Amino acid sequence: MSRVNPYEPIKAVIREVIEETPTIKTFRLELDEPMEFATGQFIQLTVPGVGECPFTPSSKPGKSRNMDVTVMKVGTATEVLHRKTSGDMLAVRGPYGNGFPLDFLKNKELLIVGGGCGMAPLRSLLYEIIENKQDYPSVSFLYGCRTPEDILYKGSFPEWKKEIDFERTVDKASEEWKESEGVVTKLFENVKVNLKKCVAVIVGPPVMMKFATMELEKKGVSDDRIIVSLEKNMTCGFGKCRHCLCGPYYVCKDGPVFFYKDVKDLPDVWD
Amino acid sequence: MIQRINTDRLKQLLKDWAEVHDVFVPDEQGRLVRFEEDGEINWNIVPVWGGLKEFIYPPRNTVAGSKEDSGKLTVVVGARDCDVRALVNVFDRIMLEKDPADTVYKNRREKIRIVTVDCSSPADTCFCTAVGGKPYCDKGFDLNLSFIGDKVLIETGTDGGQALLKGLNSKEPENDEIDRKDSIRDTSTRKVKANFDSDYKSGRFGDRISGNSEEKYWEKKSEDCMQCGGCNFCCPTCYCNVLNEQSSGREIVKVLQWDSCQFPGYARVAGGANPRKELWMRFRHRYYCKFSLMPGEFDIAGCTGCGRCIQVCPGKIDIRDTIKGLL
Ligand SMILES: Cc1cc2nc3c(=O)[nH]c(=O)nc-3n(C[C@H](O)[C@H](O)[C@H](O)COP(=O)(O)OP(=O)(O)OC[C@H]3O[C@@H](n4cnc5c(N)ncnc54)[C@H](O)[C@@H]3O)c2cc1C
Ligand code: SF4
Ligand code: SF4
Ligand code: FES
Repeated sequence: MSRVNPYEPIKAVIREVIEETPTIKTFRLELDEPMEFATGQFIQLTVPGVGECPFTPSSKPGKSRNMDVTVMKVGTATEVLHRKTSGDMLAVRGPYGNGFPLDFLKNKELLIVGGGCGMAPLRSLLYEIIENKQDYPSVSFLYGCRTPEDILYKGSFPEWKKEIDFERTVDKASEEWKESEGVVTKLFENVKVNLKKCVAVIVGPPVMMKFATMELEKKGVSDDRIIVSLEKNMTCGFGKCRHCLCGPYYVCKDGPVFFYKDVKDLPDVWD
Repeated sequence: MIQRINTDRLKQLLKDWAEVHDVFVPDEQGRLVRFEEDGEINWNIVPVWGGLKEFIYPPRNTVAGSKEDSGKLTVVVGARDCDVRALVNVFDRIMLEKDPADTVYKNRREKIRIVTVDCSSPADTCFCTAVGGKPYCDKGFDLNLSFIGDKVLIETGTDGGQALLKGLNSKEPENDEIDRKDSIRDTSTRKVKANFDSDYKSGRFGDRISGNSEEKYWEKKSEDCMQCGGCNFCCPTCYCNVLNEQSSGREIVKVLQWDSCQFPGYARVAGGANPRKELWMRFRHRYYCKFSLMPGEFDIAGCTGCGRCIQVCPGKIDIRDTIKGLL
């Protein structure tokens, strides 16, 4: 935490807006000061005069003045954000949370499962993995969306496909869609990694995570080898507002990334 | 160090403080209000509103952007042990000790002087002794006042308190005055114990407030809750807040506002998912937070037994009944 007053954000300017899907845009920001984040950590983004929302940067982790955030339009603040254009001012504070446990993931077989907008944090994990390939010898990436239109980072797919095993599926295919059809858990049937040994990282909407974790456990991935990222209501991001409490955990500090074994029995984990 | 003055001298002392500091004292209803020379002061009633929390952690507080700061000390006279225990054990620890420190809180905290008073006539709703407190303060204050007849014993707790007494012509108390102070404290302690003396740590209480079990019990108990949040706002340990974005132009302004875990939208996330959709779940969460989570984090319960929530609740919900029903 470089700033003295933890509520004081760093101003940022939008340099580019990339339309990913009809409801999702990536905002390419330039911050007044560099910020260092690890993959899986989140920031609080100020939409001036409207609100502040937690987002996980989707760009390459590390220290930089440039940062991408990929935002789905779902409500008040994100609606206004989606109307912003190049040159508009925002503000960012953070980074917060623990991020993905890279030391644990290194040299393991990895099964990464993304759903919908959950692809945003996973893109920064992908950058990490591709840049340090020697540490991640075997990776399978499964990504599911509702329709082909809803897929994020369409342009990067061919590149990624060259680097790692990468499968995509959509719930409802179109005429042109040549890849899998069906929910993402269907892809578990033919994965290349060994389910008895691999570590699974799952990020997506709660329902998707609920079914994916259940399905993986059935297939022999034990709960201490499943990693999830939780979404809870967050105000401060650093343990001072109590909004994010889930059972005994501060999701903003102890999470948002958790081992499934630690959260699976909490009554409100997926709500 | 304990010194003795008479109540007239205390009035003069308050006047002297008010010349240079912002001084607050309890009014007829016990609310802490700005000291005025001809104002009535009631040292007996425990206030529901206008407690210590509001001075250090105001309901609306600008935490980023424009701030007004008079640079003056604020002297709050009339806080109680239930206020100070919450401030020192919960607020100071969460806001100052846990990283990152809240610098706005820190600045405000450094400019406050706390003058506590012994509770000589506890209310029927007081139950501090059941949750580890007592009706008098033995730490966390800058100065403590014990009233005995027309005399006041002043105990100094910190250098900041000492500085407030600079130049005060006082006497050392006689032994029998110390005895009288102790005997008033004992009487008050007995009275508070008679109000409620159950041990929340006993039985299955801990299990019954966590998880979403005991649905029937919580549904019944929360029937009369109007979700007004009053119980949170008046509570000396509750600090839940929401950050309000109030920027205009290029200036970033953020206002921290009290929030209540009893409000339906408190834990709602985008898309409408809500971990505590039902009223009874939110109602239960307040107890889980106070009697399970907070003891783990702060080594004290998130309830100091001040009884304010009992007085304030429009649904006439008594936290002691809720606890008793689960023991
Ligand atoms: C750790 C974390 C990472 C996230 N990463 C991303 C991401 O990379 N991309 C993405 O599109 N979305 C992400 N989200 C979800 C995103 O924060 C919400 O979609 C966003 O807050 C919705 O704001 P809104 O005002 O548009 O929605 P509304 O539904 O209109 O919200 C209204 C109000 O509800 C409250 N609220 C609703 N949801 C949340 C929430 N999650 N946290 C705090 N308060 C909330 C706020 O007070 C908000 O002002 C993430 C959430 C979390 C917790
Ligand atoms: S004060 Fe009473 S009615 Fe109001 S939220 Fe608390 S329990 Fe419910
Ligand atoms: S829960 Fe009620 S009795 Fe306990 S400290 Fe808070 S306001 Fe006082
Ligand atoms: S978001 Fe404020 S405590 Fe976690």
